[in-house]
Order: sequence, then C-alpha cells, then structure tokens
Amino acid sequence: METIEVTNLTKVYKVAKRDGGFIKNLFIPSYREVLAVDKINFSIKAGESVAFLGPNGAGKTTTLKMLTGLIYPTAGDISVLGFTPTDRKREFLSDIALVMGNKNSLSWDLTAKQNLSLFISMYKTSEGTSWKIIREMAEMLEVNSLFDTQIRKMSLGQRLKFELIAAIFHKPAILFLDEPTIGLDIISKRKIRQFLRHINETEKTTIILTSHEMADIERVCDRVIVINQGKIVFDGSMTLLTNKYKDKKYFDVILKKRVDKDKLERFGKIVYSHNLSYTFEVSREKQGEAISKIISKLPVEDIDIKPTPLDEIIEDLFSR
Amino acid sequence: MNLSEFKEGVFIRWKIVKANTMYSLQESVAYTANNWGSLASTFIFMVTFLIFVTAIYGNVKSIAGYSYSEMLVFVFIAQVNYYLTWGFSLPNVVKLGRGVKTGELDMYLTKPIPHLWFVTFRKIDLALLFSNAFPSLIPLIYLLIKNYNLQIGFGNFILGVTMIIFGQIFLHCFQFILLLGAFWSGEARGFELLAYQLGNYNEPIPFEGYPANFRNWGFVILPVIFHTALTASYLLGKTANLSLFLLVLGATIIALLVKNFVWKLALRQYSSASS
Repeated sequence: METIEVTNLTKVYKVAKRDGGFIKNLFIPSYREVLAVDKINFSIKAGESVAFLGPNGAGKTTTLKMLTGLIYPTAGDISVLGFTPTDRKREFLSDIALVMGNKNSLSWDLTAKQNLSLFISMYKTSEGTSWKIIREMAEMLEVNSLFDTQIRKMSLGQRLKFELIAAIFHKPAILFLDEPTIGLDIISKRKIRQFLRHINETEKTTIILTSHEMADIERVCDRVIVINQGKIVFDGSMTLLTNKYKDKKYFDVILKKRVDKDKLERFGKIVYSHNLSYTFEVSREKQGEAISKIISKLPVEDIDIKPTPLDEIIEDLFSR
Repeated sequence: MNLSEFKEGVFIRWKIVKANTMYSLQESVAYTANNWGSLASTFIFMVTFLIFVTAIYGNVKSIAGYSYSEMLVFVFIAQVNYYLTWGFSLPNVVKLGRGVKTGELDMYLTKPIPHLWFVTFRKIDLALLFSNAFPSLIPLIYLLIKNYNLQIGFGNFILGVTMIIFGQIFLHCFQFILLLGAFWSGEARGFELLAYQLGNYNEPIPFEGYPANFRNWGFVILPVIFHTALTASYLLGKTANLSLFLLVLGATIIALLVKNFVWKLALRQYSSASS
C-alpha cells in the first residue's frame, strides 16, 4: 500500500531582488522566481525507509516540508496517508512526526520532563502509556538519567535525543527527519542511527530522511531518492545504486616501507595517499590481476578491498 | 461538525490552555533573579507615576472632569490592562513573529493541535501577574483606599469589566494581525515595536479628554483607546451611551474574524525559514 504519493510536485519560491537601488528596494521590492522542486513524481510504501539525497539547495528539504504540510506546493498533488498535507487535519498530524536537526521544539528553560508533559497533552495517547514509551525510548538512547535536567544544560546529542523522543513517543506511521545527526559526535550519531533502524524494523514506521551524512543513509535507509536542481536523478534501492558503480573497486593498502609513486601508479590509479597508506582505484575486471601484482611486488602490511564509496557515487550523481 | 467533534475540540483547547499555563509558569520561575529585576522596574515606574499624578492634583481639582480619586481608578484600570497585555498578548505575538523568522513554528505546525489557538495561548504568564503586578499595584491600591469617595453601581461595574475583556481581545487581535506581517516579510522586529507601543499606550488621556468629534466619529474603536479610557468612563458612570458599547462589541467580533482570516492567508504564505 502506498503511504505517500507525489505527482508532478513543483515549488517555486519568490525571492526579493536587490538590484533596484536602496529607495526602490525599500518601498517597491521586486522579486525573481526560484524553481526549488521541478515536477517530481514518486511513491513510498508503508514501512519503507527512504533517504532524500542532494547537494545544498537541491530541493530535498522543500520536498520534506511539502510532505509535512508546512508549505504549499506551487503545482502538483501530494497524498500522505490518504490526506492532503496542507489541510493539516488532526488525524493526519497525529500520524506523522517531524524532527529537524537544527530546529528546537523543546524549551531551553524547562527540564526534559516538563517539556515532554506539554507534548503529551497534544496527543490522544494516555499519560501513563506515553510515559511508559518515553522511558523505554530514553533507556535505548541512554538519556534516562536526564529527565530532570534543563534542556539548555544538555549536550547537543542529548538534546537531539529528547527532540526525537518528543516527536515519536505517540508512535507515528511516518517519521520525517531533516539532517537528524548534524553536529553530533560519532557515538551519538551511531546511537541515533541504531534507534531509527530499530523503530523502522519493529514498529514498521516509515522513515523519510534527508542528510549529508552518507553513514546515516547507509545504516538507516533501504531506498535512495537523489534530487539535484529540483529534479529526481535517481530513485531506487541502495543495492541498485551501489551496483551501478560495481565496475570499480578500491584497494586500501598499507605498505611496510616507502615505495616510489611512479612505481605505485603501475598498479592502478591512486585516489588517496597518506604516509604508507594508499587507496587504488581499479576496474572490476582487472581486480584479480591487480591484487596478485600488488601482493607479489609490493611490501604489503595489510590490504582491504572495498566497493565504490557512497560519497563518490553521490558526487557523481550530483555532477550530472 | 458533530457533537463529539465539538466536545473533542473544546477538550483539546482546554488541555492546551492548562498545559501552556503550567509551562509558562515553569519557564517564568526558572530564573528568579530576573523576576526580581522586572519587579523593581515596574515598582519604580508605579511609584514615580503616582508621585507625578499626586503632584498635579496638588495644583488642580480635576483633569478632563476626573477628580483625584477618579484618576486613581483610571490609572488602576490602565495598569490592569498593561499587565494583562504583557502577561498574555505581547509574549504570544512576539513569540509568533520570532518563530516565523527562525522557522521554530515548523515544530508546532506539524503537531495535531488547533494551531491558531496554540499560538494565541502559548504563553500565559501568571508569574508576571503574581510577582510583578500585585506588588507594584500596592502603592496605588493604598492611595485608592485612602482617597476613595466614589459610588460605582453594579451595572457600571459589569460594563467596565466587559469593556476590559473586549479591549484585551481587540488589542490582542490588532497586535496579532500586525505580527502576521512576518509571514510576508520574514522579519517582525518593526511590527513588534508597533505592538509594544500599542500595548503601552493606555495611561495618558481619559476618554473625556479626547475632542468631542473624535469620540463621536467612532475613533473610539482604536484599540488603544477603548480598553482603558472607555472602560474607566463606563465604570465611573461618565458614559452611558449604549451605541458606543455596541460599536465596541461589533469591532471586537470583526477583529476576531479578521484575525482568523489573516491567519489562514498567512499560513498559505509561510515559507518556513530554511534549515
């Protein structure tokens, strides 16, 4: 069953132009139109976990905001859980959640517990059930000792974990996340990714995520929609995306001693080097030959074979 | 809308007011030193203003037909309106304007709540009323009791209280609509200043102090005039004109309808600050 269906979705922003001189700009500003999303089509099934990928200004957050009903599309149709998002029906809003990595919904002056009490009052779920779920989530995210701490005294990671709890304790059918791990340390990022994967698998929550962190996408999502300049340039599973780039392999090699660069370049294109570590790019059909040559002719300490990194795949898609 | 939907709508609104009142109280008392600072500021203002009024009435018997004790009643109403505006309308409209600019509003527009109701009653600053209003009104209440020589009828009292309620609703709608400008311009500081100015303009002139033409032409419906000047006039029995009352009632209903209408327009205009 399709949870989200988007047809010919278009968004044009009007942006003030600053080219008419000070007085004119002050009283009669002129505008130019910026096409942020350009007639995109996609559908998402219940329980899917989908990443929107794209460079800054590609239109991914605008798409997310249209899906949640925050902004009106200029043209096209959106159906989310059978609702038109901009109608902002209570039933629709009760079944979605939005978390934005760089926007706060929690008051800085209050404790986590006080903040969560306010959010509980917004939903139909009983207070007892809500607190039970909140405590379970807090335990999983390792913030259960911080209920009585003021939000402003928490670290960014702790705050974001409570933002996540406040957004999803009512068990929404769809969770929208806009850069949920921005600015976090590795441990917090990992914890949040595991948590998102867990709720996707156990609660069958549909996850729609935008992020510049490739690891977020690899760990949390099964499907990727790449948006560039307002258009979809790729829509498919993570496996399909990586398979498209299967013709290249990467060898991470650590040498025992220094070897001339000229000599090393005979084994493949060097895409990275630092001290005695090198990464070689080799075509798939030549990988067997290349690996035997590297092992037999170079003083190899360690070697690791990798597929094309997701960053590079995305960079290639962005440049199209 | 059927009865159960209506009941549910009332229930969620009641829950929001209750939760926001508690939330605002907790927020306001989170910084006790700050509360002492604002109490000192309002107390100093009240004392200096009373010295000013007392000094003037030392030389004249009445201003615009108001005796000293009537003027104290007028000042009392002005102060009550001031605290009501500062404790309820202004914090909410300012929060709304800033929320539009920062995109913080996103986080509430995606919650299953009546959004206009929520942004209207997001902050209900009872702490301000208890910690600032009551202590700073003590000198005024003392002078009122000491110099009280008025007879206020029950009907006048009811009219006066009704005027305060209408006045607060009208002023709030006016300030709210002003701040909705942020949805178009993306910035609300200028509108904020105007809203502050309107909220503060309630002390200087009793209703009878305005030129007769000004009163008769309906300028009374300017929000800054009727919530204090007309209230005092009705309360003290200086105005018995029911057509003015009906004008105010009509203006309040229209203000509520316009607020609702412009809010819907503003939401269509919302571009949500980029993240």
